[in-house]
Amino acid sequence: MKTLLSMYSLRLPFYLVYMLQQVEYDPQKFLDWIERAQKKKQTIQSLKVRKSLVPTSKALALIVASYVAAGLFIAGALLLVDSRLPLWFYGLHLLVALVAAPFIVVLSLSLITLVASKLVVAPRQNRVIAAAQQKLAAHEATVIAVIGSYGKTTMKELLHTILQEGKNVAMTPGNMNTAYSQARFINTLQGDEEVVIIEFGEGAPGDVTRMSKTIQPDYAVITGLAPNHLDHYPSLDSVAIDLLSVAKYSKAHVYASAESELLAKHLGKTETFSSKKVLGWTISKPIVSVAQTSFVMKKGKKTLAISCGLLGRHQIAPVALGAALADKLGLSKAQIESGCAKIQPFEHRMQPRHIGGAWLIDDTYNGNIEGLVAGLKLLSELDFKRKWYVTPGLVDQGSETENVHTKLGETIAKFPPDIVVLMDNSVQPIIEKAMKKHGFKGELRVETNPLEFYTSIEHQLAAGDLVLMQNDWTDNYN
Amino acid sequence: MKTVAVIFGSRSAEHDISIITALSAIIKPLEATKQYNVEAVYISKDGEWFWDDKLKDIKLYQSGEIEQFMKKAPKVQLQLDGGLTLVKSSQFAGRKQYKKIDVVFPATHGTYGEDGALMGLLEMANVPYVGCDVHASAIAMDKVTSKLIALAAGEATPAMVYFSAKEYAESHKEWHRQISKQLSYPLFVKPARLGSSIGISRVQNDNELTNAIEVALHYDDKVLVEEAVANLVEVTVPIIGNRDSDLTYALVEEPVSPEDGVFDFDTKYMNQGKGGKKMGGKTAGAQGYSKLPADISKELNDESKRVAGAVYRAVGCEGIARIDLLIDKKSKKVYFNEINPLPGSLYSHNWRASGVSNVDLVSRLVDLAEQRAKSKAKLNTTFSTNFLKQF
Repeated sequence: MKTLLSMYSLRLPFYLVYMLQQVEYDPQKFLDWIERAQKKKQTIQSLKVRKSLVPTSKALALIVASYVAAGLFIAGALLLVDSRLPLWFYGLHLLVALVAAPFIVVLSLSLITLVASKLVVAPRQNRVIAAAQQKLAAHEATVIAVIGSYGKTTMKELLHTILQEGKNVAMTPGNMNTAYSQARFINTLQGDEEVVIIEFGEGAPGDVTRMSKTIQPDYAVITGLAPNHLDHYPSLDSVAIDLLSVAKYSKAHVYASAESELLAKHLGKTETFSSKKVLGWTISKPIVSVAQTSFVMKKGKKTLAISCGLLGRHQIAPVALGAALADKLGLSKAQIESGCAKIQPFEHRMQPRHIGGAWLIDDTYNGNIEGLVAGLKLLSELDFKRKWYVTPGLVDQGSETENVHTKLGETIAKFPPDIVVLMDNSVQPIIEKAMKKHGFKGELRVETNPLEFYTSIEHQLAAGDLVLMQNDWTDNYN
Repeated sequence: MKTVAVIFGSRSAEHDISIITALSAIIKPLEATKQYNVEAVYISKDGEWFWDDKLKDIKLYQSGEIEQFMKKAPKVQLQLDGGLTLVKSSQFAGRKQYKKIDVVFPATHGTYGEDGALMGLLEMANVPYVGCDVHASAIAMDKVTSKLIALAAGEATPAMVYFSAKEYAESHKEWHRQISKQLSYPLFVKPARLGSSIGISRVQNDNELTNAIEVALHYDDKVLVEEAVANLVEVTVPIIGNRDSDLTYALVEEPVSPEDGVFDFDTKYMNQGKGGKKMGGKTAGAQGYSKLPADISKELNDESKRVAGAVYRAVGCEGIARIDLLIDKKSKKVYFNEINPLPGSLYSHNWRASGVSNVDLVSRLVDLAEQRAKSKAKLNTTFSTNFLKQF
């Protein structure tokens, strides 16, 4: 009722279009969000916390359209009234029309986005994708696909950093990893690139298969499997099948992570890479600190002394694979070592910051259980006076939600920080229960206002503190 | 939940610094504890008192909207009812809003705040408050008196001569003769009771001395002239603790001296530490000109803490204070220089580097305020006699 009442606002279209922007104009996700808000008794206005409406032409057109739809509806309702009926009947009709107006706004926005995506957006995107396919087929660059439930952006960025020491390299920018955004990127290639790195996003069954057919990569790296996007994939197995379909639908040399527990049983004869062995190289002398990770790689008479700014043992395998691929593509020892030394933590991914004597590792873009476990292991390995662990848990885990958060609680108890900060949300009780069941004895805090907590945490910290922040929920999940 | 009133601003040259101390170093950390209900009480440059949640927002002061706010907002009345209650008009049907205060956290620097004046009011109100009491605050604000107490406690201070405006006007030649006889150049001339290095000059000869005394007398009617310490390393030691508790020391910090040897107001607060950055300072902002920890031997570090603790005790500081010291690197002698009973922003950058977070610092200071109030409550302040019956 609270949500419904809050919809009687003249600025309703602005809030709703903000929500549509947050879910990338997906009408289903938009309606799901409204339903969740209703269950949690949130007002529409309170859903806008972290960001603001970006006034694009698309957003403005939708706002205008929703006002027009509501206006036409009210006018139509009045016109339908028989002119011979008494005046109070007009009043009654007007009242009913006003009460129904917010629903008309929601309905019109859902229908417009749905119809536009089918009739206008999809055909236009198909044309762009076809042009990109032709352009890439004629391009002579070595194409590397980066695939997986997590770690894709890190893998892509580190490959780019290492390979550009000796090659002309292009990569898909940011987290643009849909077929359409890949195509737009390919259409901007100059033609003289020697290596092109393309991130494959998986959002629904068949996504990776379609991209593999279109892109036809020379190499494919599968970083790991986690129960993400289970709201669209029917099972974890179906995600694995989609990720591994790159081997079936392209001629790529495929390298899959041996350190992803969930991926292991699906690998068959697929070549793997780990923090011990990568493409015939053996790895030794790993050293992990809050500022860097280093190790040595050996293959025959070749030796590589690698040191990079990425944090944690789980980063050894991907960096080593990047170095091994660089060697395969003809880069020298000096180029590879220099490239690895230039790898810095990527924004919000295991990114260390020094705050008045304390260290804070920002891993708020980490949205999978394996990444969370790796973070907790890193936290336990580092030597600090007081260790904090901050997380709201994970989203999009579908039927795995309970299992995943139970595992998170268990892992927290196994590698116990001094202070654990959880957010007051739907998964917090699951994590807390598992923590207690497995004997967590440290301090547990539950924050009701995550944004306030994140913006004031510096006041809680002092020299000797280490804070690991993993994942952050956007507005549509709170 | 206990209510803590943070009082800031006031009729002081350091009014603006006080706003930063209150908003960034006290109110935010106190709210982050979730243990206290925090009330912001602002004293304007004209001495008017305001109490409102809007006063917690720095933008109000940065934008200048504070002037408009003060025109419209009701003034605060203080109700002394065996404790302290804030009262203001609710601006609705003549009703008033009341807020009983459990602890006061003064965040005022300089005159009418850090000098004991505010503490006197709080003593009369019988409300626990953070920091030095009336006596220690008043002593700390007077550089001459605090040095005399340090000397009496057996600690060294630079050789000094001091006089009032009246004494100087009556016989300035005699004072110049005394200074020439007792002290050697270079000298520092300081207003005796002003903070933030306002009105301080370093002088090399008699001509400069006359001008410097005139400048100092412009700010205060009591002036201190003292010898500069040779081979100088200047350090400062933030301390927390009460008379009946152990003292906790932050790191010994070393301000990096500018070329002229004087930290004026601009160097400290207006240059965003630029002067310090040129000299290798690492921290930005008001403390950007310092080395943390100080670049001195362990022996000098320990001696600095000992001297600082001895003066803190001798003056009777409680809650928090910062003791400034001067070290002669060659002779390894540590001189007491001055006390700051409410360090700007509580010197929280130093406490954080010492392992005490902002939240821990303000919580401990509120605890210390309550402990002192409990100890005081045990003392008898009345004495029954039949004196009145005789009339």
